[in-house]
Amino acid sequence: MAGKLAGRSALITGGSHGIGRGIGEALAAEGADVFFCHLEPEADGEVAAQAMRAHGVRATALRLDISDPAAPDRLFAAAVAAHGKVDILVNNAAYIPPKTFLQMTDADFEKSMRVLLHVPYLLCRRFADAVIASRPAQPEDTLGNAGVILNIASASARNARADRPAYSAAKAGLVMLSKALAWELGPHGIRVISISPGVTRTKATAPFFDDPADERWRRMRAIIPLGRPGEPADFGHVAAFLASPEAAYITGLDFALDGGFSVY
Amino acid sequence: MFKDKAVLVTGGNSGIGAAAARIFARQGARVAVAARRLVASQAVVEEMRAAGGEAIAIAADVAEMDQVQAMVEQVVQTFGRIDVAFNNAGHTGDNTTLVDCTPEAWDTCFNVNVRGLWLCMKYEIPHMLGQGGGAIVNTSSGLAEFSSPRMAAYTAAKHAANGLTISAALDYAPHNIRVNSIMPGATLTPMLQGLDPKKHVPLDDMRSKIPLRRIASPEEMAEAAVWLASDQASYVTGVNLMVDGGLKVKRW
Repeated sequence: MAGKLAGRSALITGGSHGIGRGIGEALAAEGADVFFCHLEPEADGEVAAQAMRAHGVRATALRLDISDPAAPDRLFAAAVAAHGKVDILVNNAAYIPPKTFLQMTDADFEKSMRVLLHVPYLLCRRFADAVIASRPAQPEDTLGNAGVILNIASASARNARADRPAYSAAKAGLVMLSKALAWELGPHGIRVISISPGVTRTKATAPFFDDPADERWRRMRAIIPLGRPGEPADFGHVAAFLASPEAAYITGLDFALDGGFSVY
Repeated sequence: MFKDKAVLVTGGNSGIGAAAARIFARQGARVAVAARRLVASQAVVEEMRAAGGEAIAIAADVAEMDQVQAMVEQVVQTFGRIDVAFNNAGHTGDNTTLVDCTPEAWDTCFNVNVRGLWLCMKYEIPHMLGQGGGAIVNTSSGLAEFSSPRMAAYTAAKHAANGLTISAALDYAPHNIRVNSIMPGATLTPMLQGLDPKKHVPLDDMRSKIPLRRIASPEEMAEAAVWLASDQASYVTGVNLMVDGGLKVKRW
C-alpha cells in the first residue's frame, strides 16, 4: 500500500527521540523520506534513522547544535543535498532553561528565543523560498499541498508557566508566527500549522511517568482528562494527518494535542 | 480503519454528512444515515449498499427528543452498538440580524444546533459508556470563533456548540469517550448554496479572503471528521478543529 506521503521529503529538527522521532517514524511509515538533526550521540541519531528506514524510505541524521548561528542554513542545505528537496518542515527542537524570570540570565533568555523562535523563522524562510522557487509560475495553488510547515509549540503558549517564562513567550510567538505565515504563504499552496503538546512523555519526563508513586505524575494525571501523557506516537499520527492531502484545507490553526488538558 | 464499527451520521443525506457517511462505509464501517428527509437518506444508503457496505436510513429530527432517542435505539438495535457518532445536522437560521430575527427562527436555529446536539450526545453517550468507549465528532462552524453578516442566531448557536463539545470531552474522557468537532469554513454544500446571494458575501469575494484561495469541498470537511473519529486521533479530545483554509487568521 502506497503511503499518503509517498514521494514527499521531510526535514525535522530534534528528531532522535521524543516528539520529533515519533513524527519522523510516522511520516516515514506513510512513505516520506526524513532528514533530521539532533544533539544526541551520533549512535542515537543512527538508531532513530534506522527505525525510519525500516519503512523503506531514506532517512538521514545530522548531529549539530541548532543554536549555532550557521546551523539552520547548514541543515537546510544538507537536507536538500541528501534528499533532493524538502516538502514538509517540522520545527521541533527545543531548549528549556528550568529557570524563573528572577533566576534567568540574559543569555538564557536569548538562547531560548534563538532556538524556539529565531531558528524556526529561519527554516520557514529557507523552506518557503525553496518551495516557491521550485514551482511553476502558479501564484494561487488550489490544493494547499505544495508544502507543509508543522511548528511544535506548547500548551505553555496559552497557559503561562512561572517556571519557564522564556519558553512560554517564545512558544506563543511561534503560534502567531505560524498564523501569519499561513496567511502569506496560503496563496503559494503552503500550509502552516502549529501543534501544541500538553503533558508529554519525553526523555526528561519519562522517569516520573514510569513511577506510579511519583508525586509529580500524580498531580499531572489529575489535570489530563484522558489520564495519560502524550506519547511520541500520538504526535506522529497527528503530524501524518496534518501533512497529508486529507488535511489540504487545514491551515493557520494551533492544534492542541494534549488529551483534553487545555479544556480543563 | 473502521472495519465493523457502528457509525451514526446525522444530517447524513447531503453535504458534509453524506460525504462522511461514504468515507466511513468505504473504510469498512456499518453506517446509519439519519436526517429528516428519509428518501434522500435512502438514496445515500442504496449507494453504499451497492458498493458492498452495510447501511440503514433513519428518519429523525434532532430537535425532537423522542426522535433522537428512537434514532439512537435503532442504531444500537440494528448494529448491536454505537462506536462513532458524527453529530452533523445543522441549521443556518433565517440569515437576519438579531433585530430582525423572529423568535421562531431563533428557536429553530438553537433547537437544531444546540439542543439537538445535546440530545444526540445525551442518548449516544450512555451506550458508549456501556460498551467501554467511543468517539464523537460534532459539526460546529468557523462561525463558532468569528461571525459573518446576518448570522446572529447561527453564530451564537455554534459558539454554544463548541462549549458543549469541550464539556462533553472533559466529562467523558475518563470513560474513554473522545469528543471533538470540526469547524468548517466556506464549504460548497447545499447549506452554503442555499444562502441568499443578495444578503451574503458573493463566493468570489469569499474566495479572495481565504489564504488558500478556494472554497472547500464537503469531502475535505468529511476527511477531517473521519480522522478525528479514528484511532489515529486517540489522544485528541476537546479539540474544535478549524478547517477553513486559513480564513480565520486573515481578519484585516
